Amino acid sequence: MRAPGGCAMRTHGQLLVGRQPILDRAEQICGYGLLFRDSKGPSRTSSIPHPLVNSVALRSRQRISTVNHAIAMLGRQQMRRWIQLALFGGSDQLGLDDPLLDAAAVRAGFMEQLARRHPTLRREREAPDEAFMIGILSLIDSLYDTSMEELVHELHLSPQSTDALLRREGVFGHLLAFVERTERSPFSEAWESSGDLGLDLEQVIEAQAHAFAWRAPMTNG
Amino acid sequence: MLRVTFTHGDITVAAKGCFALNPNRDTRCALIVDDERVMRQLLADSLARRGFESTHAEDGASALRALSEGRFDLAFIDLHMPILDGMELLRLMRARGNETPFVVLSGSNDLRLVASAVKLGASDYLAKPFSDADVTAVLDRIFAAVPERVEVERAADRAASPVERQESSTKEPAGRE
Repeated sequence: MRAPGGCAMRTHGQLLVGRQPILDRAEQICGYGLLFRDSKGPSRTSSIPHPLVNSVALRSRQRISTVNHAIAMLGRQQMRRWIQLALFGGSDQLGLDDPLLDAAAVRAGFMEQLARRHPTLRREREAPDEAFMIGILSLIDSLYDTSMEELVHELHLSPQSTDALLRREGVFGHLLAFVERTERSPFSEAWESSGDLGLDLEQVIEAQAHAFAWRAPMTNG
Repeated sequence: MLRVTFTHGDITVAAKGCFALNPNRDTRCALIVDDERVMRQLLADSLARRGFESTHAEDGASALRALSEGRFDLAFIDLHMPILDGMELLRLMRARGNETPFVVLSGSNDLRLVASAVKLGASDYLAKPFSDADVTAVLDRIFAAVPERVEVERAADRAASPVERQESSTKEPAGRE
């Protein structure tokens, strides 16, 4: 049990679900973290910078002079992903090298990449974001002493996210069930039992490889 | 303790426990097939931390010989190798009835080949560069799925292999094929 009473869960969970102003503000804070690092200030703040510091972009010798510059170097979407993961971890609850955070990064990244390739979801602009979020949220009950039902209710999620998280139903639900199988079974067995995902084997392997590559800077530092 | 030495190819045997002539093994044995020595060593180190002993082969031909001479719980096979590449090795393994579970090692540009390897029966894959945690995860997935099969095979090995076989260090290792 990491957060008795679920108060922290509400704070982090609500941030995770993506209130636009909050994430925008987080981007700014994240950018300031990079500025501090660049000016030989604190190299690591509470929860965000570790993956950033290890990113390929930041290994360059280019000086970062403004917040917008930092965001531009990393890519706005990349930064938002890391912020979401950092919020999932929470500064007082998970270390950034915690296996649960690593699992969340891979699961969320894999979900996002599958959504980008899925014949239906790839036509929906928000689908990759939603898939990423579902991937993270599917592990959040491991962090908090609260049932998934309660979490879903608390966060006011979309019906398709709710179906995916509670019942593994709908397109997102099928993708999530498959991703979970790949975590506990050899890939070949997960694939054989996947039914009709709407994706071919090459697409799925490509999606998974992208997810592993995306999270690598966070764990290979 | 039996020690098996191969005279051709770069096959380094991590001594005890890896072959059918010593079935009372209490460690698992992996075959690592990769033409890059550094990669073999990194993987062997990772596996050793999980209690595995490793046999190394630098190409598919050497690996095929090792597979015919011994028994392995798992094989890690690089897809790009000289002499006999990973895909051809996999085809020959299966054609010869070798059922050793295998994990293919691939580069990020080999994803189509990985898919082909999965269709040929690869259990899983590791994309280079991989971490210690990636190796641990793949072992967990594979051995969570096959513990019963492995135990049955070990029990069969023990039943079929009298103690005196272990004491003879002059015999060639029994092939499983």
